[in-house]
Amino acid sequence: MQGIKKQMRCLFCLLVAVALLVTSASVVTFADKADASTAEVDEGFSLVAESDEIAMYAEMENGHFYLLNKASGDKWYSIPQNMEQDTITKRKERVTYQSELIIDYVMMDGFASGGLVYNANSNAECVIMGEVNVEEIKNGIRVEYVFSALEFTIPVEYTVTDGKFKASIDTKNIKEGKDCKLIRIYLLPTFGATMDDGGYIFIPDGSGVLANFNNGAASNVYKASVYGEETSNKKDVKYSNTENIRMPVFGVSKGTSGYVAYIEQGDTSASIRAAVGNATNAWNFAHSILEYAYICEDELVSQSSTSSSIFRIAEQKYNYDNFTVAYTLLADESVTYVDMADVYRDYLIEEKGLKKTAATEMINLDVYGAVETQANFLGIKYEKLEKLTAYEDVETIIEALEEQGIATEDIGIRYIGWQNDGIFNLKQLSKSKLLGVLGGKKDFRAMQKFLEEKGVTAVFDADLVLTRSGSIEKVATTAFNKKAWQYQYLPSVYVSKLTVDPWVMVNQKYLVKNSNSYLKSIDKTIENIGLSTVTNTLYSNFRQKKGAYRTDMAETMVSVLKKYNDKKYNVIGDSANAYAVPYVSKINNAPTKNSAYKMFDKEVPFYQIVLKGYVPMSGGTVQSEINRDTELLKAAETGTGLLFNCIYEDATLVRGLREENLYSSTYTIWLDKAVKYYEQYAKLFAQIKDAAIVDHVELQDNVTKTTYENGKVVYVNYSKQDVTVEDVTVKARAFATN
Amino acid sequence: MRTLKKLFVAVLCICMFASVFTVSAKDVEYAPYSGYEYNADNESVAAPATYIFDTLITYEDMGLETPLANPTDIYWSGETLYILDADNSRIVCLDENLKAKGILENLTDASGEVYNFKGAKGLAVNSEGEIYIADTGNLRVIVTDDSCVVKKVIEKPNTTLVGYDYTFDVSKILVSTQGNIYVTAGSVNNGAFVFDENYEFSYFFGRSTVQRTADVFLNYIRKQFMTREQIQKLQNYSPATILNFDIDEEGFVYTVTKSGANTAATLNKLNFSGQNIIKSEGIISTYGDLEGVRGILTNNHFTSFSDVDIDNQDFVHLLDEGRGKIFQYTQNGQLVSVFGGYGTQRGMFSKPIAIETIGSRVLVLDSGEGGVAEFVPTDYTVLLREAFIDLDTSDPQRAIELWEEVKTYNTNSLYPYYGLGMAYEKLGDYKAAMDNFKLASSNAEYSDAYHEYRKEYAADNLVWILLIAVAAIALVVVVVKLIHRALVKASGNEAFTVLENKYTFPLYTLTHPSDGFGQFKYRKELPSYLLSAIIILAFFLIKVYEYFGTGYIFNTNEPEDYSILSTFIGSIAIYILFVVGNWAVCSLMDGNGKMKEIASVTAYSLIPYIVSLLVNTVLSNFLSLDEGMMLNIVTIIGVVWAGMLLIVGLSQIHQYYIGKTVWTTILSVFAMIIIAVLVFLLFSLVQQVLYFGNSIIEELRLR
Repeated sequence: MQGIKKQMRCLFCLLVAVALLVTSASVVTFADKADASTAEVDEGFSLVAESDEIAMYAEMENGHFYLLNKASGDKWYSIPQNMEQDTITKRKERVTYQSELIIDYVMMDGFASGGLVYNANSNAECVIMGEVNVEEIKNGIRVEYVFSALEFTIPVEYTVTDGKFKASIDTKNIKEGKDCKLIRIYLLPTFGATMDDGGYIFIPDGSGVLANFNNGAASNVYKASVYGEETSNKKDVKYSNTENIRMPVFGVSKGTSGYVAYIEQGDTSASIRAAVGNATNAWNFAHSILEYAYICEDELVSQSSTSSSIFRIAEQKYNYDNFTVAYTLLADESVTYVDMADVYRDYLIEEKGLKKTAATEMINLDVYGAVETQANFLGIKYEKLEKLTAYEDVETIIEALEEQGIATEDIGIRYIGWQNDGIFNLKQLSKSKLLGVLGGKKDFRAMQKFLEEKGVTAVFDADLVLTRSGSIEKVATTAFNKKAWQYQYLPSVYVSKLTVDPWVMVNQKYLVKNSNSYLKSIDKTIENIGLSTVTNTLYSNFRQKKGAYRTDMAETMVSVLKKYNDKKYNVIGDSANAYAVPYVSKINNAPTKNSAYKMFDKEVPFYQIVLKGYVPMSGGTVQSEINRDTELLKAAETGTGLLFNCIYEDATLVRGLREENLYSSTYTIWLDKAVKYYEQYAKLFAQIKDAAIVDHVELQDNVTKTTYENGKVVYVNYSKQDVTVEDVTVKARAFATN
Repeated sequence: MRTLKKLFVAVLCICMFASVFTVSAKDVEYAPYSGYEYNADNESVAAPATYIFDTLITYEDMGLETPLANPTDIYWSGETLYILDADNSRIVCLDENLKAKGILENLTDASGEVYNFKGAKGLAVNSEGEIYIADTGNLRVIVTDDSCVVKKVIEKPNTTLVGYDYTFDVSKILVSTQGNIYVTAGSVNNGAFVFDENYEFSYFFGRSTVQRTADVFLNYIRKQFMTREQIQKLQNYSPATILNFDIDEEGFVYTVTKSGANTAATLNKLNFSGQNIIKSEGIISTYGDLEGVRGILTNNHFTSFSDVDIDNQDFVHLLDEGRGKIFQYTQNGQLVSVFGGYGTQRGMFSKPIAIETIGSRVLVLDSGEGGVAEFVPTDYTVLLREAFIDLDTSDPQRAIELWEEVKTYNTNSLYPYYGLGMAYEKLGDYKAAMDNFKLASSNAEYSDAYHEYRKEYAADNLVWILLIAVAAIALVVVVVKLIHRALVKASGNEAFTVLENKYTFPLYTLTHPSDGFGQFKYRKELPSYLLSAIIILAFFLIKVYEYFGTGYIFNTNEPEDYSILSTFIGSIAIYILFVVGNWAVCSLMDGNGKMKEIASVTAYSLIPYIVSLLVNTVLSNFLSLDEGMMLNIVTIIGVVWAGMLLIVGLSQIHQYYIGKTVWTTILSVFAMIIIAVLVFLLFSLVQQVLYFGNSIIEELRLR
């Protein structure tokens, strides 16, 4: 019995091996043939555009097309091929998958109380009905998808320019009917989709993740809004912790071929979606979504405490002429996320003006000044500023670090909550006022002098975005003209925490106004300003008639950053979104985590690979790490600095406050750790702090290898066992260099 | 030759693919769920994540050929992990690395009959490797050895204890080291069936005790004043069904029970005779989530335990089916860890139904994902568990080291401060112990440390304390003398007594109520609105002082929650209500007292009570918890004295007999209530009108 089983198993293995051999052999043959770049043109397709790298062939009657990577011969189809081999996916979805566009829309009849969203696809509504108008334009084709039943017309241009393939929705010429309103457009949802194994999708969630093809995850679809979910919408409950997308890039690697796509225009109002194969879906793909309009929800609570939802489409819509996604085809012996990062970095350099900024400090301290707490004098409540770190305490902390052997030039501080209402604005920040409770102007100037003498870079953080008060004319609102309150959530059940004041974002008009007046008021000794929230918060203001869509808001944010740059201030960002990156000279808290969906297989430091060597960075705070030394290892893996939360007073002061995540931040608690890290990492950091990353690979489980442009190689071992890779022994939970 | 080359390239390709594209995650150190602990006020406070998801082991990872079909239970025997794969009628045996080392299927008895399961729910294994399967749908327990030979089938025992017509729908199973078999049945709420080693039914175990009638009545009354949520958290007062259980090395049985659809499941720790010896505070369960969900997620999101596991360090793990979370507690009910939840992120579940632990690893059977999810403790949790284990050991220095290190991870937590307090107390450093207990919100322990500290302090500073006491007494005497002299001078009378001045008259009534208040009738200047107002104002201020100034040990007040209105109601408003109520009642009942007299009598009579408040508040700053009796005595003296003055005073001014005074006083209280209700009605009516208007405006604006 057992014997037979064993034999069967052997046979099975053999069969699998043979099958694998045959398939890979055929891949090889295909590659051989392709090298000649004389791949046959598919039947029915004709050449519509060509560059040195890419040729584009299209079917003029239905708008289907494919791209030929001229170097490798790979073909990339706009919709999946060999659909007949798919035995898993449901028929209805197979029809949907063969579409260049999918739209989400609402029917205005009954929408206000029902809020239902429907979807339609170009295959069923346009191609099969014969309502696709294709015309040749310069460098490509223009396809007009007519969803006649819904009275939509959506023109899209597919072109090949600058060696890239660009898909561009001509949003200016979208036509909507009366009864149906367009909510979002899925652009080329199944471009290059494949059923094969042996590849992955790159998703920019958090620092970046890879999802292997056909990994079988039960919930196999990822969708997230670029730069975070829209916050100007009713939400007083959340379900779990997630990380935001910080860069509008996604890509697919099929091993020796792949593509990377970034959203060139409209990234501030887009989503990224990806799916992998599992028991009910055979296809692996990734694509972008244009968030054309937003649905806002509110609740009407009746006297009997029953509530009903009410829905409204925000008046503000996507307002650029185009929504453009640029695809770059990749081919190499092994196409990886590093190639994708290279393409995106080049784009940032060439188009967005990303420049090299010399790296600075290894030990970064987020120093928290004062925090407002609820105090009570004989029953009269008032807001009291509680000191966490006074101006002179900063000197004490720096001296303590220096005494332990940390060179002061290697220390950078970002002082948060050093002015006005402390960490958390009560009133909108429009004028800088030093705090008496922290020591007043005299102590402040003394601190500045001290820091300058010691060579410590000091950044002063200003939160121009969030506020706890302000009239409705000054803050972002929902589509129901209510202030878009944001809440702290209870860690246990994720409903809003009533003991912490809610907050709201400043609207576009006052953001500009406040930032200008603030600029005039800051102490003249300040050179570096931290604009954390301006660089990492994006939202709409859905106020009727006076609002601003996310796209406008992003432009406003950029204009503020530019203004500060023009006034010769160094601006320091915090987990900066891509649109803010070119204007910052340093990023603290660069994303090092991801949302950890089950469909993700690997985490990769994509954000760091793109920006390393250009923008100095530090990772997440050491206090936020779950296991010892994780942030140190991540810093070594990407050549970035370390970040500590830092206060002078006892950390138990923050219990129960909005800032309760500052636990264990008293400097005496982590001082030894900082010293130890400095001894371990300072030498290496000095060698790699300005170098860009040219290669990054996971050699084996939990062991990474990073190659810097100056030839330095760093191996990081996250596992709990010592390993030897490429003749280098790396200790458990440690790093080593060549 | 060419093919060979191709083959070579192909093999190379495969190797390359294999190396680059194997499914291998760098340990994702991210928890989609927040870590948290509960503080002394039962509010959740942020904490580092405690357990992180390691892997989901599916049938493929185990090395099986067919997927699991409705797995319902897991059991770790110390060397083998058994999975009850119910719909496949098999039991999968895994080693500690969760690789299959055998499958038990096609269970057959001596006669050759094959046993298939029908909705089997429970599984247990004894020390000899005998396997017990609760074959729920077939109403039987199957006993088999590890070679798939069925040794015994336990069927419905005939017992008069529950009547004959019950359903033997067995669900969970447990085997003690003595060989007793514990079996729960869903439709029997008499506790667990216990079968002896000969598979004979012997008795019911853990039958929930019936409450005394008085308790039930009291709880009925209590429930009328509780929110729905509190009621749902109330421990059960009807017989509870045992949902699941586990047994520790000493033979204590931990059960999770549930008594009705809308009640939360609770944890019990039962000794050999089935008595619950769990440490639990009050009537509200301290296990599970203590915060409710407002608004959207109202239904089915209460903590509802469905499995329990005791690990080899005696930590208790509870699986909360309601929220999909796992809670880990110490034996003293301290929350060490909580993790999980429903969702699609790593470490979240779709249908968790059973938990087991292998050392500090936690295994969760997720039938929705068709596999076993393994969790490993974070460095923080490893340390915290170690510190808890060492909490009671005799080496305080070691404890200090551990808890100080815990602080580097989490200063929001109360535990490191509690642990440090204990350690310092052992070392005799009571001041440090007090500081730490304060940060741990540990009142009783603080009080003990304070007691010791006070003793030491008193011994060290005895001379000074005595000197200060003498000086204080001298000061009081001198001040009294000075005041007296001033009064004498003002009156111009050498033989001045408190009787003569209307502002000092209350001092006389304190000890001579009958005579003193009697004088109101003929000395019209004595009753004084002004003096009454001053006394009541003092009453109000002392109440405020009591709220904030009561010593730390006795003060359960939250400064943030302070409302001046409630102090006002508790002093001034209630005074006015009483005066008005008494005046109204006595006017109808031939009382001779005037409003001014009633106001004065009431105010003057309150003086002993007011003084007792002040004394208590001051005293509470110097007493430890077990000396709290003294405060009670002072209060009682104050209340009795004041009550006596009031009754005597009222009888004097109304010219009633004492009996009638008591009667009218009770009526006055009713009058107060009626007035209060009327005011409240008016208030809520106005509120309703405002609310109505508001909702109309809202509706018009939004629609």
